[in-house]
Amino acid sequence: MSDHATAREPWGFTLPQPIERLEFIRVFAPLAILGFLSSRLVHVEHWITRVGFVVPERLGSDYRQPLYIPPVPVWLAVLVAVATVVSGLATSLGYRTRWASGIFAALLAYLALADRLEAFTVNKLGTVIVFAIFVAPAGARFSIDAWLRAKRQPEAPLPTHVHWGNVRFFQVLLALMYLGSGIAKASPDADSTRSLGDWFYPNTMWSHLHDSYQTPFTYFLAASVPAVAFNLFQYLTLAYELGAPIWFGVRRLRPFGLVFGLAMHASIGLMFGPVVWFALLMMVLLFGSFAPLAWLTRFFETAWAKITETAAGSSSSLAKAARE
Amino acid sequence: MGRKARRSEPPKKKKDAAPSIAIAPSPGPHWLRVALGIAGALYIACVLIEAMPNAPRARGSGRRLHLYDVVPRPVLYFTQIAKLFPQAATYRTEYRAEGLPCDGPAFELDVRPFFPIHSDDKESRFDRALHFYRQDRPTMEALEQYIVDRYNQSGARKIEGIMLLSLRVPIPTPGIPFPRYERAPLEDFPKEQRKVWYATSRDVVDQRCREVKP
Repeated sequence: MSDHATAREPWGFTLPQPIERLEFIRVFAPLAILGFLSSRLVHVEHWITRVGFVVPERLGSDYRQPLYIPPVPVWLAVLVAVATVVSGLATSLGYRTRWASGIFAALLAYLALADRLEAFTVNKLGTVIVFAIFVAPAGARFSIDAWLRAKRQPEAPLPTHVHWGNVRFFQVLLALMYLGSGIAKASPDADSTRSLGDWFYPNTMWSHLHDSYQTPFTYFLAASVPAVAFNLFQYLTLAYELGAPIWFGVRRLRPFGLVFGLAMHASIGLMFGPVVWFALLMMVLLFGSFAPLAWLTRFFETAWAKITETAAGSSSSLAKAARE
Repeated sequence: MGRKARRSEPPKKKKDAAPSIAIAPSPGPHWLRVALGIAGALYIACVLIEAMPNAPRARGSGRRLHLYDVVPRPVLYFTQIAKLFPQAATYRTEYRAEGLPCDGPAFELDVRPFFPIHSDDKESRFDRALHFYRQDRPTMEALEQYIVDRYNQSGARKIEGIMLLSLRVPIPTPGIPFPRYERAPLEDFPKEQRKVWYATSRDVVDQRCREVKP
């Protein structure tokens, strides 16, 4: 990094970024995605084989079926499920990260395209996140790959940063995804008679608390908290989403953006049953992208020290046992 | 690696930063990195555009400009992630099925065992199939076939057709006590809350019954 480059980049947008951000997403995003997939993978024969209901091939261009992929035999579906779990866990642990993340991304893309009925934001966004991990130097630190490399070459310097695009992609995606969500909420639907989007009118958030996503926590809140509180939270959410580029673009506002975002997704996870995995995935992206670097560094250094101590301890006791 | 030095984000001064950072090389040649950067920027732009409720109109022709005119649908599919709960729910919607036997009236089928993935919530494949395809006859016919086959393999009473319907249950008014959500039998819902989306015609049911019992 040169002074010249810094002068050219008053906002530091294209400066190298701390590797902790990328590695945090690499460790935890696959776990949130696998958590979402788990309830589907245990019934994989009902998902992508003819044992379950499959949507027949649609003729012509159809947003619901962008690509027809025929069902597979049960043995192949089981193989896909096992490969998805193994590659996802390997990506999270950082074991042969390039291969693991490439395979995981390809399988996620297949699973999302093969069946519209089980495609949600988590596995569509998840595919893109894992692909971004695949094309980044993920696993260069805080991974099994890094640990093995350090054992082979103890003098080799450990990377501390990655090129800007490897982290900025997640940060910009998150901010503009919120903005898009805010615009969708703020704009009237083509069929609507309203001049503004529904989220400008009271009780829109309230209206989503009453279906099969309802949890005991949702019911407790809906039954005990005055509706005005939901309306307040609704307007705050709208302002948060519409203002996301500001909350995350202005350094001083970033802590607010982070805390509000984490609280919002925690509420979503608690109140909308199966949406918990989406909430966790977004929290991982938020935390990895915008948490203070000191928190991420402390987390990794503490966890890494414990893991490597344990690994060193078990390998020395194994060696001792072998000698005896 | 010095812990203190790595905390700078981004490194500000050459004197402090230059010796302290080591950049992990990104995989692939430079041209590939540039291409991936452009692809990433285009992806994010598409996510934003896809979230817009109404596509802009072209000058002159007035035709709506859609991204699917230029971006292949399988790619565009992965950009459709930001439009989350954009409207108020006017009803609580549930989907149900009724079986049509050879003799006697229609009766409710519990289809949850045939759709074990998230069988008790709206992420069930049955609910999703009706959500997306309830007006698409070929898909509804395939769903009919699937449910009739599965039910007749397991049920004591044979059916030769089905009726697929939605329930539109009013949202409780804020401030008025309301019961917790639970799945109730179809008969508990008044007729005006039911909307039939697909039904095997009586003629087809009768014909199938004649074929079964000549």
